[in-house]
Amino acid sequence: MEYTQTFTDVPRIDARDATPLLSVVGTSARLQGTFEIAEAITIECQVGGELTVGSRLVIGQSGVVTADVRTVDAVIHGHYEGNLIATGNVEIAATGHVMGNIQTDSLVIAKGGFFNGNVASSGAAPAAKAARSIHLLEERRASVAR
Amino acid sequence: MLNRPTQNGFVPDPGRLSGPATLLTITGQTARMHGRFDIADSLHVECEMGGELVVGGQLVIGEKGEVNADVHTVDAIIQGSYAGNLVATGTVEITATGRVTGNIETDSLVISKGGFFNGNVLRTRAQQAGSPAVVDEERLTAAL
Repeated sequence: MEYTQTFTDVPRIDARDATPLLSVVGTSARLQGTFEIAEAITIECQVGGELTVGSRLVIGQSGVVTADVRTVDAVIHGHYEGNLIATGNVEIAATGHVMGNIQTDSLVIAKGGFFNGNVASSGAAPAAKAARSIHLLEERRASVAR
Repeated sequence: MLNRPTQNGFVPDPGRLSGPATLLTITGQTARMHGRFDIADSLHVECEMGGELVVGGQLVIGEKGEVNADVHTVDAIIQGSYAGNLVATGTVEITATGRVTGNIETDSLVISKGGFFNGNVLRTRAQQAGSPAVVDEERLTAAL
């Protein structure tokens, strides 16, 4: 019984966290600067600068992000330009438009999604990677436009 | 029968659907941002924010909000802590939980009982009437 109560407490804490730390409403917004976010952010406006996200970055269809990003997961439905480092998954949706460099182990580009830039896999152990010659680095240039 | 209108709150609220779009949402435990923010309409802050803020509508600093920025806005409601220079063309309200340090330029300032304010208040209307020396400026510290 006590265990059950412990488990039901967890979603309750999550529900409290669901109250946004920051919410911007209206027709337009432009934000420029450094952002350090412990968990998740959803962007439907213009954002520039430097973004550090502890969990999930979502760029909505009307989102325009020009920033260097460090995140775990990223889902891009809008425009993104910059250097993106993701320790988790990166998904460029059908409406997504990405220009720049992506460092990730998992990249999905949906049909219709646009990507122009470099992809670097961070999968190999850093020591093993350093021992290899440059031309063997798991890096490739990709350009997808439909 | 499936389309029978329900009266128990499950019907989508039309007011909410036609409301202004959410442009940015941050969820989680903590967030800190610094920079320049231009927001056409309104903003609700429950995290740390610094730099420069230009708001075309209403700025709400929630109880957990900590804003250390120069702000240009229409209306401001401060339930958390604010430090900086605030220029508001509309109304400024410091609620019972609000703590403000800095300068406020506005025509309408309300400080609720329990609200804290340390700084200068400058009335915008007085500026138009005469020389800067006649500006109705007052220093006040309200802590109840």
